[in-house]
Amino acid sequence: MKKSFDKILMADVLFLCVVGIVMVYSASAYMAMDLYQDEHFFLKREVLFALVGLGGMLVTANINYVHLRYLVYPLLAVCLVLMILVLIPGIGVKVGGAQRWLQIGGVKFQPSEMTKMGLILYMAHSLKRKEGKIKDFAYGFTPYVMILGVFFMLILLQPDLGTAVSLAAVVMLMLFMAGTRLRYLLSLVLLSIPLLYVLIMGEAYRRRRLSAFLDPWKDAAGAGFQIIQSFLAIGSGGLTGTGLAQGHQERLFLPEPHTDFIFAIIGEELGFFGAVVVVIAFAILFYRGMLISLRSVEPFGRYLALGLTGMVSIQALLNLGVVVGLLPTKGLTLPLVSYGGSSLLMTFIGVGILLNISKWTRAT
Amino acid sequence: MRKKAPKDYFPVKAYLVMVLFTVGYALVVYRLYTLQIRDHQLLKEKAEKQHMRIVKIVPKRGTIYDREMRELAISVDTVSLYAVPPQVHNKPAAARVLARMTGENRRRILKSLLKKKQFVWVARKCNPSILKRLEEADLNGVYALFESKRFYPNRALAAGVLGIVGIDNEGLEGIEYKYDDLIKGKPGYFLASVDAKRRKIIDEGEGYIKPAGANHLVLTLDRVIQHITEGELKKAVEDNKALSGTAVMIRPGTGEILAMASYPGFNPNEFGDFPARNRRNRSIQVNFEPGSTFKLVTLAAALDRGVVHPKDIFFCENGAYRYRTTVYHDTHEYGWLTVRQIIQRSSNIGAIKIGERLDEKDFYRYITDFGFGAKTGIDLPGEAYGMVRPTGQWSGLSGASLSMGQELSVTALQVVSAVATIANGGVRMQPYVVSRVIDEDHKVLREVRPVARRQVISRKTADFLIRCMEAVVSEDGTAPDAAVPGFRVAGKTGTAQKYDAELGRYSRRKYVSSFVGFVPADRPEFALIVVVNEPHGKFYYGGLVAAPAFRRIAERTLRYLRVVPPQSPEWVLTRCDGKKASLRQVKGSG
Repeated sequence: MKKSFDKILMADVLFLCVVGIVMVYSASAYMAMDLYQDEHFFLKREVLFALVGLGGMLVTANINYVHLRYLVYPLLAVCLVLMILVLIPGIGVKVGGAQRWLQIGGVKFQPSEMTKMGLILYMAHSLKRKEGKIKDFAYGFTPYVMILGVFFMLILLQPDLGTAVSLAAVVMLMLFMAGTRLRYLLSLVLLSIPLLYVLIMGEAYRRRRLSAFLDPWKDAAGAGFQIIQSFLAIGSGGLTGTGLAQGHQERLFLPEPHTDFIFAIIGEELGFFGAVVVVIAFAILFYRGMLISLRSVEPFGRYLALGLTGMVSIQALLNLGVVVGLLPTKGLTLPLVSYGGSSLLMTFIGVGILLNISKWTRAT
Repeated sequence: MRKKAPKDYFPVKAYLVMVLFTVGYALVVYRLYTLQIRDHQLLKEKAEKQHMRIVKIVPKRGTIYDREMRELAISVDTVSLYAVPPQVHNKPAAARVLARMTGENRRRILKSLLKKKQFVWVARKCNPSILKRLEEADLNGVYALFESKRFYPNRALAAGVLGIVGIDNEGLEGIEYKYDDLIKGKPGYFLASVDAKRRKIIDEGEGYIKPAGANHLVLTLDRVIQHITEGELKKAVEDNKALSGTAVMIRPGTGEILAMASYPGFNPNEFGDFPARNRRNRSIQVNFEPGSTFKLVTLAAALDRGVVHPKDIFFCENGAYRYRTTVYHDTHEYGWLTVRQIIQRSSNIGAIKIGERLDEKDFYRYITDFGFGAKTGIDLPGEAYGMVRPTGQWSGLSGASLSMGQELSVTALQVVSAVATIANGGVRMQPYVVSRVIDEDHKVLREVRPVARRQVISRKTADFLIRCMEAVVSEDGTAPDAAVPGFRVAGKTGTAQKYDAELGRYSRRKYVSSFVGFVPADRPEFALIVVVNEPHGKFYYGGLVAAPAFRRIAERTLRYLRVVPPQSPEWVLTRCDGKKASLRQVKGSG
């Protein structure tokens, strides 16, 4: 038994968080000035979220993760209720055509962020209990697919395809690692292809995003605008970048420079070196998380660590893929770096749990 | 065996997943390499292209002044609105707001907002007060910039000479067109680093090219004389129920144009509201057959060649003269007339007989030496040549026709220039309207000096012609109405039948009535022509239609120029009295 938590992971996470704060400021200052006449508007909030998140991380890092099993079902139920509530007009807050937020007092938060956590906890708990019977189709596969299906649809209704896809990916990853038959998973993937096709082709904006992904220069002023602006930002960064706050692209050329496309600003201002360092930091987060999972002494910790690591890493990889043009745009933030309270808080809480699990690992 | 825990594949799968993710991270790094290192230059240039935008600073068009530095055309600051369509959110709503703001057509605005462009005009050259309303409307993607706009403070005054400018401040007609290169200025540029909202965010110090100052023009025109001339011309055209008219005043000694008027005219500030024909500068762009005024040229040629002597007398056939195949008539039946009387009474037969003495080639040479059949070379665009047939194309009757001013067409400027030549002792001066080009600081860049084109006739010939012309204005002449009390006036009437293409002969109802002359006859201040096209009132004779307008313009201009009548203190007295009645007495004594 180790007595202390994974310091490399914590340093890595804190590094990403600091990079995030600096870049959110650099990317948003001009826009904040434009929108709120206060260049620190987003910075102040991001720092506050980070402090709250750090607090959350410290709390979860010091609670023995095994106790979390008591939370599994209540949390899942709360998530379900909130996910339904958020869809009800008048309760859920709509921003830019998507109804993703609930407002309590002056605080807005995204129940889908909590849902990720809830579902991962449930999966970890359940997979532990079903160890050995996991290969059974009715017992070890169907219930998860149904629960995932429910939440997947609820998220899609917001709509939030990015989060839905990353949630599905993490559930599949956990099932695959737990030993579900590969053919079940593959058939699930194959079956979901028509569904995805309908989802994408049925929505004009998603269709445009896909065609913009395939050939962004075709409609540079329209659908391809965002991704081309991203390329231009990253490309003009070169090897060493333009320097902090020296980039031009965040000055309203690149939509959402401080959220979905913050990595493009990193590429522009910190250059190839800076961008690679950030990619490496995410890789380290992933490897350390996987190591914690591998070294965990018991299945709940193992699956929980896997799920939490998978969630952050999949989302990060999807976001990076979008920003550099490997994947079509779908509206995902870069965990720890992008501006956004709910995401930052839940990521920190997840990292806190990971850190706690890391205390209970065996040495290799 | 079965009961035993199955082999734990978790670590193997974990490593597999780690490899997969590593591939993912590697792909991202590879993409970063292609974007940031391989394609860096290309993308950087593309990015810079959209960041750095060359902003053109349109210079203010130079002012046009009259000879006394009074403004005839100025530039005023206006605000133009443009849009970057991809940034405009609710286009129909934006179009509605903009239509209300600018008074432009809503559908036209919407149509341009829906264009797949990065730049469209919404409204050009609005009142600067629109800026405040634009700010209040707080529309995305709609911006304003300053543009200067041409403004003619005197509205229609001298419009035909000044011309017009287009929406991009380009000179289209008149002086605006002719001197466009000099007064439009050179546009300035600056490289503005702008965001997607096209806001300037880098100060102007960087890559800033100042717009080169436009030069100003000083004209030979006098605003007051122009005003007088236009007013009297309008009156003459309206009183005589005529179609149109033109008048030109020139300084015989220099060729400076003091006034150049066309009626009906137009307001160059809103030239689109007028028919295009109103924009014609009738003094130089409209040809007409001169008629009797041309008899001066015939006589000048004959005298100068020495084929006619001032003391010669001619038998005018009692009003009907068979010349070759045609019979020519006079309006009155004249017997023997002196040369001077032929001009004074405008005898066609007399003129023909004078012309008969001239060799065709000599006559033609004098006609062209006086400037007919060619552009005068005045610094205005679109000047007509007029039409004078070379002798090779003359018929047997051409000499006779030309002698009395038929079979050729002229412009008003050509006629007044020829008469000014007589006034100037036979020296034809080059007519011009721009006297100085000055720069922003009013430093003179170019000063136009009067140019003598040619000694057309001798001074002696000219002096005799002047005496003939003075007789025209006497009570026995064709234009006593042209007499200006206290001054010696020299002139000649012209009443030309218009050729009717439908009838194939000269019309009996359509005339061009004109009067051309100069004052004072001995030391001319100016020569003036008044041409009235197709008068349909009580009269059509030049002496009755155009001469009164000549007198009024001349009288008012002399007073404005403070020209004192020679040797007639009574004139001063009567001016002090302000009584018109006494003016007659002055005339009697003079």
